[in-house]
Amino acid sequence: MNSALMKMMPMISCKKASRLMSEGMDRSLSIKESMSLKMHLFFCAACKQILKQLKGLRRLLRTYRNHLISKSAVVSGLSQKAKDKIKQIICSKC
Amino acid sequence: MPALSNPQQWVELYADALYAYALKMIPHPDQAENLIQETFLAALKSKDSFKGNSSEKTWLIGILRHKITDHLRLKYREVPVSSLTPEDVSIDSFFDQVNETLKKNPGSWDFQPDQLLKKEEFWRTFEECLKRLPPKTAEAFSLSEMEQMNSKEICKVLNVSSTNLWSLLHRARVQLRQCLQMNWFEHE
Repeated sequence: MNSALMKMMPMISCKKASRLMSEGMDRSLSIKESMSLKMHLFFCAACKQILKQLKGLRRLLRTYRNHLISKSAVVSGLSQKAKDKIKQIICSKC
Repeated sequence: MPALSNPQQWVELYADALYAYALKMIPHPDQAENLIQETFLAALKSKDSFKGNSSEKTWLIGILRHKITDHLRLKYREVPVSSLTPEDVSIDSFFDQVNETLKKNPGSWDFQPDQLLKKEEFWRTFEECLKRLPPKTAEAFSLSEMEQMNSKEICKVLNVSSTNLWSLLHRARVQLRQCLQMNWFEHE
């Protein structure tokens, strides 16, 4: 990597990279934050691995949630009894 | 003035879709049912304010979303601010005190998502790991990663600032990852 760039931007620690990689999943990082993180990940295989695991976990959880929803009561909808009760209440206010 | 359909038809037209939406956020049928009822009543009160910028269904879902946020906010109102542990206390334990490098090898997670999805045992391990987080941390993580709520909404529900939220999520991820590594992936 460009040594002039490395001089301008001191390497951040794994602890700081950990924070940035997590926040990068929740908000846009600034250019400086993004470059600091990328530089750290270039040199640190462990942190690179962690980011991969966190992203994999995120994808897995989203798939799991969709899987749960498709299995659940959603498919049958609100019961007729509940619908009738709500209709009665609406009618009394109409 | 755009015409709304007859409120007496709303239930037949939209109740199932609203219920499906509510259950995603509040997986308790009774509570979801109450929220649907509140939504229709609120819509009835404010039907004159419907401007027709969206469909009726979208308008009703908008009202439902507010009801859901209010419901969740009430749930967390009781948690005192002091129960939030200082920001990086637990994060520090994962890194060397002097040079802030990672203490432990992260291990490698080679999994096929569609295979892991079916393993009940994995999800039990996951739930156990989630339970080990402080309550607000676990909830922040669930709302973000499972319910896929955006940061703004989560902040409203948990009554925290965005900075606090990012800290909670960071802690959740670091701890959960380590817990899953030690209790599942290391042995696979």
